[in-house]
Amino acid sequence: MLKCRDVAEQASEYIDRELSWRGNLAVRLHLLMCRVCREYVRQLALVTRALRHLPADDVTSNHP
Amino acid sequence: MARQASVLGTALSSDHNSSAEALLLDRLRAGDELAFAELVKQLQGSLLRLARTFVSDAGAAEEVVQDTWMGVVKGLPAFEGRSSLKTWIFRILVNRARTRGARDGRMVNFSMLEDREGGESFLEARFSKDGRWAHPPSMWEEQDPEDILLRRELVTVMREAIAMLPPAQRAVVTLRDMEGVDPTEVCNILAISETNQRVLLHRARTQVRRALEVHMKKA
Repeated sequence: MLKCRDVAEQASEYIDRELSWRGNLAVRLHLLMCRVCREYVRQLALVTRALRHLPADDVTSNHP
Repeated sequence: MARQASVLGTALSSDHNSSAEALLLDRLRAGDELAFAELVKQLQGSLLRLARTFVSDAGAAEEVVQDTWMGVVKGLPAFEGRSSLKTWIFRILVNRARTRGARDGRMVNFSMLEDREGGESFLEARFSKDGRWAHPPSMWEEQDPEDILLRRELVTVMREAIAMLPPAQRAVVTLRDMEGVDPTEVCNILAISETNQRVLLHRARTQVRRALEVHMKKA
């Protein structure tokens, strides 16, 4: 049984569908039961999708 | 708020078997200046962003990018299409940026063992010894990327968080999440292992999420 900590550590792999079938199932089962982890994974997925469309104007300018 | 699409943009997907890319390559190899100009326009921002990870200032990044385009022109006849055109160009850039960075005394270390900054220490503090949340994340109202991207201050927070990342994390998140390059190609471009790439990406995303969380709590 995965702990919340394990889920947080594997969250990116879960979002990217890079976990094995068994690993994916373990995370899903945990998420069904744990509202906090569900929110954490949802937020990380949201950030990942937002990064994809972050306006290109531009991270380079932050360090002159 | 999606990036501007163009015919060329479609051709420059990670799918290097696409017929659109083949067509683009034909035009480039035939010396079609318009195709080359469009290619530059399409990738210039991405290349600058990636170069900035390796070198110390914007001027040096611009020089590396110019140097990269010269390398592209020179290398096109020999390009075999084993990777996508975009990946190939990114790889030229990374090689040149690394050389330039080393010359300027700025070495970017891609070993995750050397790159301990980031998500891990933050996660440590969030869990109790039994692996449960000791400090759970606050709930967010934001549902869609637009809920973040349409708020200027949140975009700024994300940009600043990315700029503050250790270079290796920044390079990986730039390629994977911002440029949409697939994991195998990212490993290829940066010459890092899959495990390393995965850890760096997760740490980077964790940091950006964390920055947003801190900002939202303050607001």
